[in-house]
Amino acid sequence: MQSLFFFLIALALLIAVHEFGHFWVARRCGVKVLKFSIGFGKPIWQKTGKDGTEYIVAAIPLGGYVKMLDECEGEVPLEQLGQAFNRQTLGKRTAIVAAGPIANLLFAIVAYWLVLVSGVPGIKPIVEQVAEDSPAAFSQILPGDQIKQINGEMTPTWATVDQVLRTIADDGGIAEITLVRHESKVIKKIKIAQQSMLVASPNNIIKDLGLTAKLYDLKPVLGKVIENQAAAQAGLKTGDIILSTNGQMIESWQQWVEVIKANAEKELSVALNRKNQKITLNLTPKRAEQSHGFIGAAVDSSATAVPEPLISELRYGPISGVIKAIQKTWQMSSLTVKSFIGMLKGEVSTKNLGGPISIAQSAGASADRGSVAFLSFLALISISLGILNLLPIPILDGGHLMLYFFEWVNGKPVSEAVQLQGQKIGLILLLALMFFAFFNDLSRQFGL
Amino acid sequence: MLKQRLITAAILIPLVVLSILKLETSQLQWFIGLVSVLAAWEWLSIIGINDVIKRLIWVVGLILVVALIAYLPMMFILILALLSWLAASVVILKYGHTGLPARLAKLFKKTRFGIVCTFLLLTFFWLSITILHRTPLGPEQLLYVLVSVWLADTGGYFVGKKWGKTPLAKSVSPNKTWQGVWGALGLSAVWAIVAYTLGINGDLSLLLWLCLTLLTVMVSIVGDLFESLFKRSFNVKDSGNLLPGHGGILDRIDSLIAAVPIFVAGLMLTGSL
Repeated sequence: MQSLFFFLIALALLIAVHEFGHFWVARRCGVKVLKFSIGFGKPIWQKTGKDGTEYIVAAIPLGGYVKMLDECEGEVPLEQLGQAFNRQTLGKRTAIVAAGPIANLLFAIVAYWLVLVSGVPGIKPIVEQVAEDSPAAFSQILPGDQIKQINGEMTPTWATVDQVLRTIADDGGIAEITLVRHESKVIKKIKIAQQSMLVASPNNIIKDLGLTAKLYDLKPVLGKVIENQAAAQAGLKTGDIILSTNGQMIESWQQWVEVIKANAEKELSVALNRKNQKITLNLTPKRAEQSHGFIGAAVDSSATAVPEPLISELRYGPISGVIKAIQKTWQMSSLTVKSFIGMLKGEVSTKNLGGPISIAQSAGASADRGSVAFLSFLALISISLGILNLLPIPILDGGHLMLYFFEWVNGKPVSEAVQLQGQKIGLILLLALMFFAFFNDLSRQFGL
Repeated sequence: MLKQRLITAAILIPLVVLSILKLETSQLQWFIGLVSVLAAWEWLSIIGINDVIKRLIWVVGLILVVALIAYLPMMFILILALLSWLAASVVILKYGHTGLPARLAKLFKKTRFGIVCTFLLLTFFWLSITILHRTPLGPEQLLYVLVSVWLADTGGYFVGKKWGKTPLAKSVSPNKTWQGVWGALGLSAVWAIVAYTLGINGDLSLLLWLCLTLLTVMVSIVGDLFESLFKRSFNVKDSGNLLPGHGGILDRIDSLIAAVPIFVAGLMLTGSL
């Protein structure tokens, strides 16, 4: 329910941004705007401005519109003809139509800028181990090295290392890694195997290179407990803090993992703290494939604060942040286009096409993780909205732009009969797409 | 005139061959970009954009469009190129003798339609060369297409001169004959077999390789005629005099602008790109 709430807020906001783009440019061009509505259906709030525009908030927040004075949609009094949309020059009409998607892209830039300037916390990329015979070992990366830059991009956190490597892997190529080793700079080159960014479940690219992150002792707090595994069967629950096993004190999650691994198929007496009550349970780890013990539970890493020396932050200055935010928006836009074409070609599973349900879930999940994550999420959805609207499908903004393009080439507007046919086809295409997205959602929810 | 032509050729041919074989794709794309920009410059002047500033703006626009379109998947670009040249072939074959019907003729006289064609065709040309050149056999195959088109030109010219009598597309280019086309196809077929024995075909069978070459050569003739069609629509004789003795750069590469995208699209569709 909470996800749905955040989703509706996100959607209403982004639609408002989109429609405001149309609205603002229309007014600048001297077009009379009759209605500016967020959502459709029954109005729940409305107000008529001094300019004669009706501002409406409607009940169903899945869309919105700007209604302009237009001879194609109704009678226009003679003295207002100059303010009618259809009487504007081709350039002005193009600007008004393009303004919606552009507003969404600008919004994304601003949102990313806010995220980058306020800083994204993370863990400093210090290498703990380098696997033998791995690409990292060949490139002579050593334990203790701190990854400073990759191909000229600053990488203050492991998350940014992952992100930059992924962009390089999209084409496949050489990464030039700048390391800090004993306070001096070392540059190493490493070959990155090609891996499309569009794969649904990508490999762990950092692990594939043979790198292990420097970690810190995590508090032994249970995060996720998998059903029908040893931990769940023994009665362990999310939030439990492990105190001791067989009388031996457990100080860290890492230590607890070692104890479990060493005691496959042996009964352990586990003391734990659940909501400030001490409980003792009997737990028998199962034998995993690698022949060590396994109980099917994961750590709650958020229970432990990151130790000071490993705290890092991805943060840009106000000016460099602008450039970075534009880059990021561009990158996500082209990824959106690519994944869309990939879907049409059948390369990317259409399961990636998230309909309202999965978007609502991500909205809730990102709101849980704080305002920075929610802003990034808003930016991403804003980009999708902008790009989707630019698709050359009649009835979408992109479809109108396509008609204007033909008008520009031909010197006269596309005939109404052709426009009408185009709208029919566009509507069918759009409905098919929506059906697809919803169907994927439902099958994800219910495992159809 | 002939001497000048030979000297220009003697300088240009080694330059082109060396750039294709020696340069990295990332470097070659700028060279091809330069050629495309010069061709666009001439094409824009053909379609009546005489104002230098305006032409400059459109050329910059072309570069931006290419940079944007390069982000699209290559399959998308190549299929679009294939369809565009298919449409051009239909127009040429259907109306080559009689001249364009009124509506099409009006369209072909529109400067803006000319701009769209310029943009599309040069974008396909520029990008398909970079797509091909990147592949392991790319430089050799690119050179192969160039030689095929030049040989087809030569074969067409001599056979047409000696035996030519049935005009191909009277209203567009009265000098081109069907006999010339057979000459062009014959000579390039021989060349295709030679290249096959040299292993330039990659993993294509001889039959497919031959078909692809002949298709490429046929479309290259369409490319030549398509440029003439534009010149005729805008009443222009020469496209420029950038290359001494050869006329404009566009006259030199008009066949290639059509041939390379078709060849690359063919390679992609046969799965050997």
